[in-house]
Amino acid sequence: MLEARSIAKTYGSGPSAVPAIADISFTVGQGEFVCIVGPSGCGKTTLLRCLSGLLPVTGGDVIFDGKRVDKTPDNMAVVFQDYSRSLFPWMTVFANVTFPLRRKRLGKKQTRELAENALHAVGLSDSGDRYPWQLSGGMQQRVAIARALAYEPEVLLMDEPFAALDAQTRADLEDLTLRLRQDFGVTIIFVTHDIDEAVFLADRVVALTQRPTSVLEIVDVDLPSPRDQLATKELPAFIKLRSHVYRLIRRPDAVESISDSVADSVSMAAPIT
Amino acid sequence: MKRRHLFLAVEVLSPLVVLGAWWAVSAGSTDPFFPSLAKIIDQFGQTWLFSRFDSDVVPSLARMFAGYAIAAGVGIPLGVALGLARRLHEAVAPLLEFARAIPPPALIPFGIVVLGVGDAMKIFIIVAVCVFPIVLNAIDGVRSVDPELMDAGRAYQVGRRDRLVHVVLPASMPQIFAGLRTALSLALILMVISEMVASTNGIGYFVLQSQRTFAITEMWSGILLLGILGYVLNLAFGLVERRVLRWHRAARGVATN
Amino acid sequence: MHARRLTYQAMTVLVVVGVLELLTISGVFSAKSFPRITDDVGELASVLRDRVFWQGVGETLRGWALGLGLATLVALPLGLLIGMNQWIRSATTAIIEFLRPIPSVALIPLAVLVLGTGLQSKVFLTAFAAMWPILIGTVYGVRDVDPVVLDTARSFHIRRSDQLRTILLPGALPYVATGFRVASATALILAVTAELVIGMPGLGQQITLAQASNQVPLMYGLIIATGVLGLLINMVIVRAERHVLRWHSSYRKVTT
Repeated sequence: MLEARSIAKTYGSGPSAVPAIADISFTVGQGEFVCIVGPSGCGKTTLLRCLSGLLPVTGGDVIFDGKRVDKTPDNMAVVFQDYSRSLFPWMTVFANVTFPLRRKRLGKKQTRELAENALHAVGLSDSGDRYPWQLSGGMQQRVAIARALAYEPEVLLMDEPFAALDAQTRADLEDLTLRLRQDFGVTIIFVTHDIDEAVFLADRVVALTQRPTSVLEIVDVDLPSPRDQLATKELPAFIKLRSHVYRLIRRPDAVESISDSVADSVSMAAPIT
Repeated sequence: MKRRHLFLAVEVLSPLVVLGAWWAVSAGSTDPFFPSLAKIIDQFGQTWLFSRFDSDVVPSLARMFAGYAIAAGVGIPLGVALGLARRLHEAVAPLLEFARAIPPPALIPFGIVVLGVGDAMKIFIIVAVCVFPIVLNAIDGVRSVDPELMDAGRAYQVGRRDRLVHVVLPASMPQIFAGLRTALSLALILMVISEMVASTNGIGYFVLQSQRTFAITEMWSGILLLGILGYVLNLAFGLVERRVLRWHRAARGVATN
Repeated sequence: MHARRLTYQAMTVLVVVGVLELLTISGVFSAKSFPRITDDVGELASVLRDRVFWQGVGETLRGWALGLGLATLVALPLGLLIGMNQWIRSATTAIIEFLRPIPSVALIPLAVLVLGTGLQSKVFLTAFAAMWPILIGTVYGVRDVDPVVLDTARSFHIRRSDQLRTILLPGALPYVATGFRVASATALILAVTAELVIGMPGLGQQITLAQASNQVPLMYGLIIATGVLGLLINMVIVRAERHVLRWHSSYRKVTT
């Protein structure tokens, strides 16, 4: 569904050029939940912006539904990290959620329904008439998610959406995201620096290198569904996976392959280029 | 809590104290240049409420508001357009900078040459001068719209017209209002100067005439009126701004928490 | 990139000047009110050799500088005091809020009455108007200093006067600088206004004289000269501000 084909991104040109991304390739299938993790400053956000068409690539291609991406595709929605700066403060919550729908010209009734359903799905049915700055950080991010949901995308790109929230709110929103994925069937590409979060949420984890960034390893996460904040995180498989990803990110030279004792279907793929 | 009340009390009482002191100190004044406050207030009532209201206050205010409204009506769209068209703005920038650097009163003789000494000249001068802070601030406002907001618009492929009306304009409002506020005080100043230099009616004219004919108490009453006018205009503007930009103050308050 | 922008700007200026010139030559603009730009510039060029012109410039600058200096002398310490002390702030807030919006031009007749038509009037008016931006800037600047920094200083028992010197003043400097820049422009406006309305010697007076004696190209030339003067003053102030703040903005980055 979405394919990153040898993506490269260099800022500037000539001697002062900064190569942020060297070569990143991976694919995301329909309905998958893929998390992208990497060390600080490795260009995760740059990658996401390239995938969403907000930033042009300097090499390689982003292919979505068979077509090259040069601006944000129709069936893609983005949730940004800084919720306080991506929601429009002069609009109510409801207006914020319906704003992207204007261009779809669906008629008042349908637009209203979509917005109300989306707000209900994130648990904010009563907050439609309030302004974003009247809500807590977690609630604001829910509004951003509702905005993305109402847009009825096939793919949802999320850029470290919970990084600025406290741990408990983060846990709630992680659960919400998993639930939404199940109810709405969206494909999710989720960028995070939080390794626990990545392993907890994902079907697959794409681990990135330092700058200039490329794919270090793609780790299959074969943990049982539905995921639970307590039960899943107590599983030995979770701990092993988490440690493995941790080593990939923090100490890439000391990586060893995961032993078979962890049980089936954890595979190595996408070697370092 | 108690300390805060104390501060509030001082804040309210101190101007009253100052007024009282002025009253007291000037009470038996025989100084021709500084009549007692009592006499000034008395004169104020006589002159402005309402005998000279029609003949001087109305024309003054009419000229000022006309000039201000035209300046805003021309300046805001022009500033937004220039803010969006980066190349054009860069090309025109030095001309704008130069025009802005000309001290407004220097333009009054120019106004007299071109339009004579009537209302048209005064309105023209107010427009010509007030347009600049409005345009420059509008340009600034448009160019400093948070790129995150623009990204959100682009990510959801919001149409150009929607982007302008629902994103760029509201986001630039705080800065536009800053320009409107500067323009308001400029409009008042130019109204007064143009009336002092070339007029046969108006508050500014009255004040200068009174000084020239040594009608000192009248002069003071005029100065008082101008002071009150300035204060009231500022207050009214602040109220409108607070209402329109309610979201801005609240959003910024939360962000800094 | 930079060169290209300059080219665009130069071209635009030439186009505008050319259009204005044509409008006058073709008669669309009456030559009496809008003489040819080249005539105006020509007058300006010839007046640059006139000593009277330069005396006028000197007079304007004198009033501007003295007024600005007086305003700073009064407003800076006052602003520091008000900014640092809550009591004084409460006591003066309402008074300042009332005095500030008084258009300083309203005081022209009063100044003439009490101080005459000499330099004192000009300086008084200029100083009164220029005082407010500096005052407000200083108060804001002092209040904006990070309270954590002040608490730290206090916990180390640093004397108030040292706190003022090493923390408050540098911290407030950016705001004060902005206020000073606005005050400088305001002072120029008032100086020219005083010359215009009262007839004190200076550029404002020369412009009025030119207009009254129907020497229209000269009037335009003088207006252009005044604009150039304004630009030059602004450039100097901005450069000075940048110089002072370069040191302090990095200082600020360290403390933040």
